[in-house]
Amino acid sequence: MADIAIEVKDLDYVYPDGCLALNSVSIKVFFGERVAILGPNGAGKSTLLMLISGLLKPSKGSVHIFGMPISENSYKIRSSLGIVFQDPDDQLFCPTLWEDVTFGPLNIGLSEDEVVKRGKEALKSVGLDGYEERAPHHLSAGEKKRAAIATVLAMNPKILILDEPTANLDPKSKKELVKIIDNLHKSQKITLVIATHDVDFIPLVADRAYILNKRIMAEGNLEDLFSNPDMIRKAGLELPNITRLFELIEESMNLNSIKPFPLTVEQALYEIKRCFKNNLQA
Amino acid sequence: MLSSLLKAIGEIVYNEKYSSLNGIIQSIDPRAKIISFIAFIFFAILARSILTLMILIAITFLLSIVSKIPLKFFMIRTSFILLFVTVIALPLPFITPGNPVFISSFITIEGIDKALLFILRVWACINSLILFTLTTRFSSIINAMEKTKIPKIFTMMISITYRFIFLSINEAYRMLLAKESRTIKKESRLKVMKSLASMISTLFIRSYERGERVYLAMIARGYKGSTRNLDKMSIKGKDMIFAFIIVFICSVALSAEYLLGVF
Repeated sequence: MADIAIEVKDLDYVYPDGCLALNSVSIKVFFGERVAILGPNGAGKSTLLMLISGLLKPSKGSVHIFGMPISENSYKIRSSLGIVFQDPDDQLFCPTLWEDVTFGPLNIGLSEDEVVKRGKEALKSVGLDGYEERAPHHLSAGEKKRAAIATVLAMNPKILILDEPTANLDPKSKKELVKIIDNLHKSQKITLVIATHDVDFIPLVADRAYILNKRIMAEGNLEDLFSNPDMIRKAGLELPNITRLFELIEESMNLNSIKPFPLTVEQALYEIKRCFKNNLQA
Repeated sequence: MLSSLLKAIGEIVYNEKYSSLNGIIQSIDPRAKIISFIAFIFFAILARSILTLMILIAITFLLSIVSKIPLKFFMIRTSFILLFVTVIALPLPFITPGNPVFISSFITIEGIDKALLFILRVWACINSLILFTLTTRFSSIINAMEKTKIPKIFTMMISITYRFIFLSINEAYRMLLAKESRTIKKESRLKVMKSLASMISTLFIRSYERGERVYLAMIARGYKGSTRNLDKMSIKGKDMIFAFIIVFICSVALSAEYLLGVF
């Protein structure tokens, strides 16, 4: 089973105050996959990501990364697994961006030349080259987010975990983020795990998803999941705007054959064009 | 009112306007600066005459001019602290035994001398420290401290504190604004105090929680209790000359005072 990157089995997590955060959660992520963890606020998404990266200890169950149990190999695994926190201010704790970016590589014990190379590459891949000497508190929210991603990329992770990557971002920064994530996946075949409740954003960066609300409610391809609006709403989520539009079209025109619904603007455009063509022919 | 005070503090702590100018002191290696300013403070503490201290203070003003810091800005910055120092020195003329001044029998000449020496000494030290922090980027100060063999755990604590003072100030500022936006009539002193107290406790809890998250972020990037850093600085001849000149002038002034009794 060498092609499984992350395997979570029957995971329970109880908060220190005794409240159950996660209830027998099982997840499998394969190499090079783009997987989303969708769930409303307070569903336990961040907790699950912390457990996957070994920052928290599960109350029950196990987490295996590359087939190794994380509880025994946390230091070894951490160099190949990068987690980007929701608040970039938690992740940028050095006086300059350059020190933040080189913090990880220096900790793994790489040579200085390698550290410099990796730092430069990481900043370049998020479009922040030339920002080395900038102080984190002088960056904008979008820049901070990209900087936080760079600090993790500098460690050359095989798995990249993102917690609410679109929180507090303006549309332009969001677009740039999609581009960065896309590039990483295409050029480095990086395995992505993205936790979010931003349903409009997720079709752009993931193929498969787990719907989480304390426990796994559903699992599958995004098209299939979003074709089941009742389940999505029961989990405390909503359809992407485009998908919602097609759902309404289907309802109001009493159609029953336009599933799976398109999830992105591009897919919708394709679908609409097809409809018009069929109409013209008929 | 309180919120604008917070903003002002933030601006004072994070003013890096003058550290990026191309003045003489800005171009000196931070380690050479640390050594020369420590030597300078050492001399200021040893000095026992008002004239020597005046010379030392004059040197700091001269240095501030060559490093392109506006004199007025520099004066305001230092006089703020001098205010407190003067208050501390105020009782000295009354409690020091010696010859009374002709106006009043309570005040002694020795006492006035002592108070003046105290104020001038602190002034010289503060001037040099403010000059140092104004002309050096904070990251370079930290870097220089690491290079001068100050323990890493100590420098790391300073750098993280510095980084998060800014966030805390911002957080406090937002909390104050949120409170002000919901205050529709003038409140009694007691009520303001009470709400401030609860705000401070909230701020403590928030910083504690952030501290935990930052620690996790460090662990996630392979932090094991110690870190390395990249060597970027190099001491050149110019830096040595600067340190030498500072030490030389100070020691000449001091030895003139001690050995020859000139002043």
